[in-house]
Amino acid sequence: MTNISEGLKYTKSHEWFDPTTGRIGISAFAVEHLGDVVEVDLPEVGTEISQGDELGTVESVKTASEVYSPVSGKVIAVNEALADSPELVNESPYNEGWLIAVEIENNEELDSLMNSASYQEHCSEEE
Amino acid sequence: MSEAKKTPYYDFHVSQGAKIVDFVGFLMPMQYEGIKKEHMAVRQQAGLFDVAHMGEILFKGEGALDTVNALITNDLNLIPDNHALYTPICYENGGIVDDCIVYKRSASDIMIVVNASNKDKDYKWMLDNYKGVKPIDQSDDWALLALQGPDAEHIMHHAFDADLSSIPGFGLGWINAFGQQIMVARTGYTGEDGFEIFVPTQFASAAYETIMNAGKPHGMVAAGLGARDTLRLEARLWLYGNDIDATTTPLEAGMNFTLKFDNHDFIGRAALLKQKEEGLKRKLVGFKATGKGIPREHFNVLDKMPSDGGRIIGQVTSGTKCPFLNESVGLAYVETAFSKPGTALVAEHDGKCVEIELVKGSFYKRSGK
Repeated sequence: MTNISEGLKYTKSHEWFDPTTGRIGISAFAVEHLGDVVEVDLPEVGTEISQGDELGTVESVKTASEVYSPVSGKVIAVNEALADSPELVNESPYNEGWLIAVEIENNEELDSLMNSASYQEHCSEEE
Repeated sequence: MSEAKKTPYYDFHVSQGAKIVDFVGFLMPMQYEGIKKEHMAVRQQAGLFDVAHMGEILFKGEGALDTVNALITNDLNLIPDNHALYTPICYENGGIVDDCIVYKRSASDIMIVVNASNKDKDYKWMLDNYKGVKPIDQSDDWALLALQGPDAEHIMHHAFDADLSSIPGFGLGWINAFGQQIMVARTGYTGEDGFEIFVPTQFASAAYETIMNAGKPHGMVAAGLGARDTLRLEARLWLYGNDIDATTTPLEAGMNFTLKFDNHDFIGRAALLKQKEEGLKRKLVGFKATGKGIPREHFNVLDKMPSDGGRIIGQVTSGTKCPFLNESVGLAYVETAFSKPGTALVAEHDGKCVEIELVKGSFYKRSGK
């Protein structure tokens, strides 16, 4: 059973969004499948992104994985720690391994995301 | 497809929590705790690899040396007994059948270890082409292990009370274990010191446990195929299927040190001599990324940025970010005009571009033995 954080909103492509902080990251399920993360490519603060757009890339030893934005909005912060310590994504996918924070434009987009229970179900279907 | 095979070490992998993958018909460990950790352990202490899936083909009897020498591009006459030799095997047209290590115990007792992915093809090719001593496929008789890392010699000492310090690189020796004489060779596929241990299949479990128990206090870990791939790339070793195959020649791949044309006839000789004379259209080169991003297998190589009118001059065959160097490195075939070390090029995939620079020699060089 994979580790899923309560209170977050999830996408089918395994990103999470925290409605209280605006942070975006990738789930423990995604991290397990990627393996050791060695490089992270993220947008700059101020970039406008739309829901479903590619916001960046997380690269592991084995493969590169695109990260899609769970919501639309403006990037207000980027996790600078990942430049030197990309392994934080593996070690702490829901906390220190966050990727970017956005100012959400339209709260209605949240309805299209999954809560932790439905995401759990989604993961077991993919397993 | 037939059902995937298991090596005699399969249960150990599962009990250690390995991620198991089907690798060319064998259920093999991709990783245990993580590729990075296993990679670093091999560079700094030691790692134990199950390589029992690899093929062993024996040539035994008078004339074995001449039989094998006619099949390989390298020359067994140039090494003493109890030594090993790295060599490609080529088709008549110079394309590569496989790359392998030939273990010469004597002129009449020679074993070739071949890639698991090519074993059946290789064995058939050898049966079709040998003149002299008939090859015997012994792959099921041996459960090969590779103990790699700076502490390998020390761990072998603890495990088997064996002093292997006098065995040189690519040398062979024997240890006494389980009432047997077991062959070990100072060879490997990691760019690190270490041994490959020719464990008879019936002693597989005992050998694995003995080495594990001796190695753990030294920081040795079980290492999987993932680390094997990053280690070999960091040491700039070729991988068949990626960097070399039937459509590439040893000259293009930069394996000139394995081509011995003098007083040595072998399959592919004429084609390779001709290619050497005419000059190469492309060459395999090593590169490191100078910009952000990781060029991987199948990326195009361009002479400059697409926005500056760059055109495709080659393809990446292997690439990743190597854990020890913490740099993105790889191999690529490029047009000969662009193959000089120091050349700045661009790796591109789906519009994503990574700046690269060609580098000479191995990315990683170990110190000492």
